Amino acid sequence: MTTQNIDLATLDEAAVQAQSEILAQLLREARPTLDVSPGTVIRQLVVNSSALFTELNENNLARLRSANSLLTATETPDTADASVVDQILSNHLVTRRAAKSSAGRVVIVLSQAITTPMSSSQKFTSLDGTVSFTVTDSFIGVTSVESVSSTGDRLITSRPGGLFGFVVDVVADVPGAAGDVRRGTRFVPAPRLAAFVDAYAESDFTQGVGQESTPELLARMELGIAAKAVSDRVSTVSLLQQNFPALQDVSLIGFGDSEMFRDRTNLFGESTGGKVDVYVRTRGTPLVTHAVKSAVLVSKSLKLWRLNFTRDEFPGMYRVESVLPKDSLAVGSFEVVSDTRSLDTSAIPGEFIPRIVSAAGGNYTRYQTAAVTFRDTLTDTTELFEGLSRQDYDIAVSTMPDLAELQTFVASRDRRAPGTDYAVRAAIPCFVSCGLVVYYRREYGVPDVEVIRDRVTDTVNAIKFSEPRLSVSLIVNTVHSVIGQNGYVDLPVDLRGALLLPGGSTVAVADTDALVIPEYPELGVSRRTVAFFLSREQVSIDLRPVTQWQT
Amino acid sequence: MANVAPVFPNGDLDRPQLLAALPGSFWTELFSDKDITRALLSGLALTYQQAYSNFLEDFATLSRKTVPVWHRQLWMPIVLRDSEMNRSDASLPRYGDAITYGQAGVYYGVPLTREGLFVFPLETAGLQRITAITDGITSAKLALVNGVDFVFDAEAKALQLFANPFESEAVPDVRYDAEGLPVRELKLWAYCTDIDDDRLWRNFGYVLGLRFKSSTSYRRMINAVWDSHAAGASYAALKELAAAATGIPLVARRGTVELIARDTRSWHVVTDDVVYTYPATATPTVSPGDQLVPGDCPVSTLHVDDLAGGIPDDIEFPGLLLDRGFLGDGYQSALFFANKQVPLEYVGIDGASADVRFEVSGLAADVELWWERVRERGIDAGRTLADVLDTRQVRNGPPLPQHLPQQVNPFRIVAELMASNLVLVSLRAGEFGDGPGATALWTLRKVLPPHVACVTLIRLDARAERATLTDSASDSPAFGAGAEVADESFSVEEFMPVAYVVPDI
Repeated sequence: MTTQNIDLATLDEAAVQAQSEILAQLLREARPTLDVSPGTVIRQLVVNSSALFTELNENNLARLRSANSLLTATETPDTADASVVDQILSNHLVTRRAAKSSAGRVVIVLSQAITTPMSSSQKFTSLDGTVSFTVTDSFIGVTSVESVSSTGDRLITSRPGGLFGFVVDVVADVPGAAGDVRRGTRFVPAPRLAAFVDAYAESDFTQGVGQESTPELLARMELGIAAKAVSDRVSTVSLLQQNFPALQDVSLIGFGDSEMFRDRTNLFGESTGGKVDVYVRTRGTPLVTHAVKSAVLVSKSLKLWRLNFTRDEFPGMYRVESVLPKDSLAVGSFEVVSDTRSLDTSAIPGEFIPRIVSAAGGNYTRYQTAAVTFRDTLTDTTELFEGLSRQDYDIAVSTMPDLAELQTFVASRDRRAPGTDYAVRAAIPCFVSCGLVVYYRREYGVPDVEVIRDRVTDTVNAIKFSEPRLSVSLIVNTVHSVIGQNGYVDLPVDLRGALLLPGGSTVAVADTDALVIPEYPELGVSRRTVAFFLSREQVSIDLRPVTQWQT
Repeated sequence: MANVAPVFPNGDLDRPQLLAALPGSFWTELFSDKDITRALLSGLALTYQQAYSNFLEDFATLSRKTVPVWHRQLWMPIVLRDSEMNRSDASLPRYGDAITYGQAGVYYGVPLTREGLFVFPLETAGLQRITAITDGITSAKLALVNGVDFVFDAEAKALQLFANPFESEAVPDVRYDAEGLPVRELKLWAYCTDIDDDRLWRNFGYVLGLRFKSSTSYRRMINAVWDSHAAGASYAALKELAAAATGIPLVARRGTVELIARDTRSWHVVTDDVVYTYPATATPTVSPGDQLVPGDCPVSTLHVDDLAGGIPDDIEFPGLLLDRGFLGDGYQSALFFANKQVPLEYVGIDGASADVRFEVSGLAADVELWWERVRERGIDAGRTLADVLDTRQVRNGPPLPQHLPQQVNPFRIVAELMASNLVLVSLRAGEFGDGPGATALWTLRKVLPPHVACVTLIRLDARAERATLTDSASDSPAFGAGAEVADESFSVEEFMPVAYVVPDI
């Protein structure tokens, strides 16, 4: 334990000397003729030893003192004692967040419909070998409904192309966000399965969280001491984080903030207070959910179809990422030609509805509705009827999860302060892409591009509200944390962002130094409300060896 | 108790006779070197006394309410060299000193020599204050007292003595420097020194992300924010935080004012229970016999108006300066709505509605934009400002000038709408104490519920100046010496209203 030290050799020589000098001075004053200079018997045996033990006690007191402060205790993180850190945290009602493994479902594609048993140790490893998963239980793929008698029995169904498939649940072998693979990620089973053709992630894997780092804990201590109540900003955030542990970041916009436009509905257009917009980021990148949804034909000649989303379908959704024919294994999407957002603030039994007066004002809240029109170039509409003909499509929608639950939570009559009006909003998204050219020295080996990609995405997705920019230097530093001094990042870095404004328009931002969020306060857009999102797929890394002439 | 007080004797450890008796009569009566025994025991007691002081400090550090601002070192050796007297960087003139470069031997980068002032560098890390300086611990020929014989300038790390210590009875050592030249050194002892070891920040401030120079005001700020977080936002926490930032105390306990007294540096408001001390520049706002309750501010430095209870008739707020945080986008700067009666201007009838305006200060384009928007909103809503101000019982068509008030108060008109969620904090900068000051007012955002705003007014009281108007040019006043005989004189004593929203954190 770091609070103990009886190693005399570690004491500060100057401090010991200072203690010794005080005692020597007293002896000199008592008898000026007494020799207490260094080397004398009394100095060596009495004065110095007393000084040594006194300083030892002082030293241990200082250690005790520092053990009461997380800041001091962790100034040398390598030697910080985890038990001391956890003790300090307990005084602030903060517990280190445990690591959690990512989980999801894997689709197993077979060439034949044959019974396929697998033990609870069956593994699936990504094609690049970076992450592996184990099934959550023993499963058996069965060929008939009659054979399904337990949760481990999974029905094998037919798939396009004369193939067959069934689904199993898996969990990442190593905790952390690295296991949050995207939909479609392909796997290799071990041991190999009979009639095996393919295995891929059915949808985005979620819930992977690494163990909380000390800097993260330091940032959270203020939340720990705060009352969990709708009170000042810190208390309110603390309440939300206690009840929604996955919540990554919160920004409260209130009276006097330029982004607060809901309280300016009076004659003078002046803010009147009483309203709060709660911008939330509930995960690193938006969750892309895949579903089957019915669309209605709106234009035969233009082959336009429309998807209508109620406020309860994908609450606060960002956008439709893809629309494809149902059960298609194709990649890409039909062209989305329009995305019109509206507002549904009709009563919800037992729930307070915040005052939102414009459709744009309702964007990214759980009260928005959407009509998304796309062009289906494959379906023959000759025999169909506009406004009547419907067809199912596979869609992928990006959202911040838990938005409706958060709104219900803050609007609850148990928590809402009288006279206040809280509206929860998903962080306004700035989708980032990043292109890097990284040079490395052959003699030190080839850097792991996947590790670089993971670190860069983690860094960007950890940027908090209020940080004014996504700086290129942040990315360069992150790359160097992987490659060390054995390479370099070529400048300029290709850094681009697409800011999806409430109201539907997109603003492109790009710079060689940093992405800076433009401000549109009338839409609530500022650095306090926008979050940078960077997915692994949007990080392109061109690894090049340093040639002789470059050295 | 956080520190061992500079009193003597401070317990048994300061009683040499008692300590000397501890080993038994042989050592105190028969042993030939019994003075050494006594010195040794006294010395050990002294080191324990320091340990005890440290222990008390650490004990007090357990609580944010009692954490010591500074560490106290009972005895600390210091060395003064005659070669450094008035010759080190500690003697350099600094910006803000009342001096003029190029005059009276004052030159940039040249140490300043003042008659009767002997300046030595003292660069002990964090040293803030020295109570006394002696040339011995138990007996001294030289004893200097803070404020009487010396002062220590912590910022300049300069010990300023009022007499040359090398001309005192203290005996300097002589050593020789690298070039073989003699250097006289005085080895002295600093008693009861206060050292800033960043204890407030390291133990509590970092949790809140609040970092200021160590002071009692900083500790109060930590406690105000902590209280707000732990117990919920409160008016008390808001006012305490504002008071702490400005470095003035609020009334802690209920009491009756017994006396108000002033010395050269401070005002003292004395109740039957507590003495509250304020800068001499402040103006007491209470009188003997007044009842004080916790949270009161008995001087003019700080005043807080929570408008949720209504706008007081006698509110002393010169007006509201509203920026785009309150007005929305499109404005280049802020608009000022004065708290005074101004004429209501009848612009005329535009279509089916009357158009009226009143005085709003700001950039002309911003003022025009604001009025345009007011008019558009009024027409859109079917009720313009003129309609709102219409005094008729029965309304038939747009109001005419005689149907409207002749004067309005712009401040009250705009403040009335936001009053339920608005707190006004008025401060006088010239009366601040030792707090971090106006730059720390951003912390108010930490204790405000987000649906509430705080507008802060900082009054910059200008120094009174006497101006003379000459009879030859009565429209161009001449200031200062050499002015002609005055026909009339006036004093300029104005304040500069500065109001702003607490910025984001």
